[in-house]
Amino acid sequence: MADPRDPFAGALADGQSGGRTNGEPIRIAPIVGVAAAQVQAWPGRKADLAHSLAPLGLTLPDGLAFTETGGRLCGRIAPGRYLIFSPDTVADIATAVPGSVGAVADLSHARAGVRISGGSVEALLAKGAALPFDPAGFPPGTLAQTSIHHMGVLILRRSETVFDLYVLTSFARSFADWLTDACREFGWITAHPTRLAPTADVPA
Amino acid sequence: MTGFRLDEGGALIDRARPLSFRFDGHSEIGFAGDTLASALLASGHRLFGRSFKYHRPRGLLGAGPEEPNALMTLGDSSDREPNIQATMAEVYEGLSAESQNRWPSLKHDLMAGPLALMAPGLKAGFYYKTFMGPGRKAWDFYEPIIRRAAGLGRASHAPDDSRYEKTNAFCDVLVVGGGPAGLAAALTAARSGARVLLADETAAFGGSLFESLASLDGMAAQDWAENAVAELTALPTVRLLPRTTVYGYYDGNVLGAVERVQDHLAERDPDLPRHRHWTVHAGRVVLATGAIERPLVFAGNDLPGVMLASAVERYLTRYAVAAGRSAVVFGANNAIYRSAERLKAAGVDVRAVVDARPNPPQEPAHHIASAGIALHAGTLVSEATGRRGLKAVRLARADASGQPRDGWTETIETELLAVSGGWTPTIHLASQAGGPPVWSADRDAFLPGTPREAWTAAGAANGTADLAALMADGARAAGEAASSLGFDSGVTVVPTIEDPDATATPVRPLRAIRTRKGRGKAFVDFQNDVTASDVRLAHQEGYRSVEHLKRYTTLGMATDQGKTSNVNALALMAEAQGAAIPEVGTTRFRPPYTPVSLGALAGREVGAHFRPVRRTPMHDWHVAQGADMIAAGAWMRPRVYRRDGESVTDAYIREARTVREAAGMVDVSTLGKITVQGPDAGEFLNRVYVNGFGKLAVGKARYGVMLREDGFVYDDGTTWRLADDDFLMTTTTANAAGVLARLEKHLAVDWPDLRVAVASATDQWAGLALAGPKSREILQRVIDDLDLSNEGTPFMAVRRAHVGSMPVIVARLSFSGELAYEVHCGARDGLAVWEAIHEAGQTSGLVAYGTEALGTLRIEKGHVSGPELDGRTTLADLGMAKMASTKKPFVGQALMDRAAMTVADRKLMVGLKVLDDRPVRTGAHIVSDTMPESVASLGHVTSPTYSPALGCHIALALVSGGGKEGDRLTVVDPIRSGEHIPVEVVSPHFFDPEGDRLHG
Repeated sequence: MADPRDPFAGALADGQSGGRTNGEPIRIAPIVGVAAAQVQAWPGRKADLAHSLAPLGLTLPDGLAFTETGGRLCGRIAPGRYLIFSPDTVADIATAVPGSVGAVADLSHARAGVRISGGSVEALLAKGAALPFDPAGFPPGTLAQTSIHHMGVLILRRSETVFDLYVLTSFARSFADWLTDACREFGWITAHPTRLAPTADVPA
Repeated sequence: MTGFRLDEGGALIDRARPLSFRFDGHSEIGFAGDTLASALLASGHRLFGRSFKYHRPRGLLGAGPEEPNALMTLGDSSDREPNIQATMAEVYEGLSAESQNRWPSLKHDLMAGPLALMAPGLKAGFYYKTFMGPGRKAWDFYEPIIRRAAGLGRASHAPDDSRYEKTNAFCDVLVVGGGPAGLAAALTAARSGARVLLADETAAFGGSLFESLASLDGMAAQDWAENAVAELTALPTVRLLPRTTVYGYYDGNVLGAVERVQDHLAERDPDLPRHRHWTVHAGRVVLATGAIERPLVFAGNDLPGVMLASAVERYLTRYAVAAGRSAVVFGANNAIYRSAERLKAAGVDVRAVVDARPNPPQEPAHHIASAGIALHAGTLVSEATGRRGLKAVRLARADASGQPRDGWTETIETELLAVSGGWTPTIHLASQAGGPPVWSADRDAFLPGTPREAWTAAGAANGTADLAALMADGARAAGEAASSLGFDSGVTVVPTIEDPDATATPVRPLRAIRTRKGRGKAFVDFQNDVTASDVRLAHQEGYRSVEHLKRYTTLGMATDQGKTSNVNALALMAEAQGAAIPEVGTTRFRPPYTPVSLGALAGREVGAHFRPVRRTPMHDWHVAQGADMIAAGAWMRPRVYRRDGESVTDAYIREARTVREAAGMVDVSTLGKITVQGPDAGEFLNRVYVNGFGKLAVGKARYGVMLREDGFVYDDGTTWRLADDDFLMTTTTANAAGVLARLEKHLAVDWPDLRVAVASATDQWAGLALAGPKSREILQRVIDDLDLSNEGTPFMAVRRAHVGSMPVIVARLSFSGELAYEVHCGARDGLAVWEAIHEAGQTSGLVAYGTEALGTLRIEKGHVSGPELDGRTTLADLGMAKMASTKKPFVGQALMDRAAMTVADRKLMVGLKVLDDRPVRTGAHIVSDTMPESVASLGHVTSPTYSPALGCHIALALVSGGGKEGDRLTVVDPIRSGEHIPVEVVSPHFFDPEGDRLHG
């Protein structure tokens, strides 16, 4: 059962709609139980930040990418600034980073995540964002911050056919409206809410 | 009857799928694959429209996007769309088409008679000269009448129910045009491994290969094209977009294209768009856009039955339609011989080939002679005659300059005249993204100029005519494009070609053929009814620049954009000026190449999807409680919770009164929130706020104001110290993003040495404000781990607590002037916390209140908000001058005391009490109370309301000099109401000025 507290679970009615007779529908699943924190190193202290986070198994990515270690995702969202997604809690991250190295802001309630999967996901995303979503230009492990239909969105490619999208919580329903509308030509089906599981665990 | 369907052939039609459609209310038949033009032509129609200005009968000139005459209105309900070229519209079962610019019918157009009589006077500029002369009033009278008489189709006023979408595509090589050069280019690029996008404006790829008699790699040209398309379709790196017009070429190698996804279907899928707009991001572009045949300019050249020779061939090969039972072919190049032979082979009585060249090439001449077709060399068609359609052509001997030597020599009756005036490369996209087109005397055409973006023109667009050469050109262009992007260009796809048409085609320019007086009009621009004499007149009257020529005569305007008229008009101008064509210049093209539906540009940003909105976690609760929701920026907020029979005013007065008498709660989740963390956070806040924050105690909040760099007030709010190095700043709902951007800029650019991190936390927290004398007892019912008394939670205290198991932050803050608490919690807990407090308050008379009551309560207290923080007010204007610290620098300090910001007559914030029972409105002017119409405005009302606490209408206002308490002024609202309302100046702290209630 969907958790009504979750912005996307509340916004996406169970069901399915539209679609060609000869095509695989897009599966849409709210990502629930995810904690998030923005971590920033003070100027010149990036190495110290990496050192502080290493005991938690976290690795800082370079470039427009995210790392996936120990069930956590760490994406680079600005120079020296990272957004970490974690199952359940980010409290240990705040503890691990001393105030002399950087700052940790808990944004667990500020982001709402949705996982989309299926053979047409690239075509779906192309409607919203002017980014090359083919696997050569946007391989698994790539992160992008862009806007879709005037809403800021963080895009993480988990595998060839699976993307995780995060928006501001207050935009969840408008984003769900955009998403299900943009899916109409492919068809869509709401899947059970999913956890921040490794990609391999995601039913394709 | 003239045109007819051949018994066999037609590469694009499916004879097994006949279909019926309607044209001007009559039932017509065609085959799947037909265009509206080919189907009507096959049924014997010659008349396709009435011309723009003279209402002359017009038939088909072309067979593609160049068609200037056959504009139709398609559809009959909300999808009704005017000005669609019959040559580009595919027929489907049930299609409804109407001709345009005629009344009552195409055949009997009542405007045609009078306009024919008036025609000799209707020269370029006629309307302006005649109807504007008497003055502006005269033009205002005549203009609508003229516009009604002249025109194209009319759009529907009904909302368009069709779905439109927009999307993006990325490719290495974009090939525009799917003719022979485009196919060779696409295959070459695709085989190199590049991602290829191939777009063609028609339904089928192949272009002129449909008309080619050549063999390619031993195959018929059409079979080769089919194989090429099959190979491309099978490649995962290739996307084929038929029915897709690339209309615009923009900076950064970005191109706009419109795919007509369903216009050709009788049954449309509601899940698919009608049109899909593609924004194409291309590494390199091959412009294989082809060429458009040029018509010839002679008297009567617009009669239905006079067509481009290439179009005549297209109707034969693609749709198996002969455009007439008898034909004459006229031109000055070798292609006309193939047209004649092809017509003859189709069973048309070809009565003559008229070649303006005195010495036509021998081999083709021999061919047609053996087919029994008369050849008139060194001869012109000087005139076409007929009333509603072509009946006969008159021939004249050509002199050395290509003009008739004397009178006509012969008259030949014919239904069809196929003309060829040479070829105009389609250089619209090249021109949009390149330098001026370059004149080629060899080709008698403008060729693409210097690229400004990464494109290469290829094939006929480059002025190449020979099939083998243009395919090699396409392959070369694509090979270079692919290799420049790092793909292996070892393979260039050029088939082995044997082409019977491959003889060198010497081009002899054939210019406008002079018309003998009284022998009818010779048209240059068919769509805009511009004649050769209009162009000459423009020259005589001094409109010599091509740009002036265009605007004076309307040549090259409207949907056509000069596709068939451009070069002929320039040639006329050149002749009139005694100059060469390139000296006269050429029009540059701008997007779009052909019209783009507005729906495609809007995509899904219509109706409920017009723009996204932000919702608080309590949104559904508000709606369920009957709140009127109102947009506050992107946010949706409850305005009032109306009860049965209440007006908005009734509701907010009740809500505000209840807050002062008992308690109310309001959703403040939209408040901007920014985390400010780090060892230097206190110092940072000291610099951005006018007042001090460095010494703010942990667990306390402070109200702060920030200025812009120019010294004016920017934003305000409270900032809370949660820990030594951890602050939570609140901003106004409207400025949250702007404040964050400023803070980021200060940290990145101004003070990079500060160890401070900021992050937007607006969405992290749901918030509510609980206000009123009973707020403490209500809140204490749901919180047992925090003492809410004045000792436990004093004014401005910030404390952590729990509602049930849910962690909250309680801040003793008040916007209403009442004893009040803000309760903030994680957004996912927002609804539960709200409901818990709401329920706990029911026995105490708690109500939910909206933004209207929120405004009333703050106006009664004289708290500033958006209407006062309008970017023009200073701290002193708002009565907050004393807040500014003198002990530390802050943003805006350097400029806040400029002379103009301290003069005595600045508008200062005051309170106004209305002296009768009428409301005043935001923006109304304030004047001294004598003679309101004749004195200057002293200021304006910023925030008016009815005050239930005071029992009268009040307002905050900005008044020059501020006035004195007790001054009588008048509020005037000349535009909206015209009322004069007497008011008295009072302190803006209308209610409880001592603040006793706040401290509970």
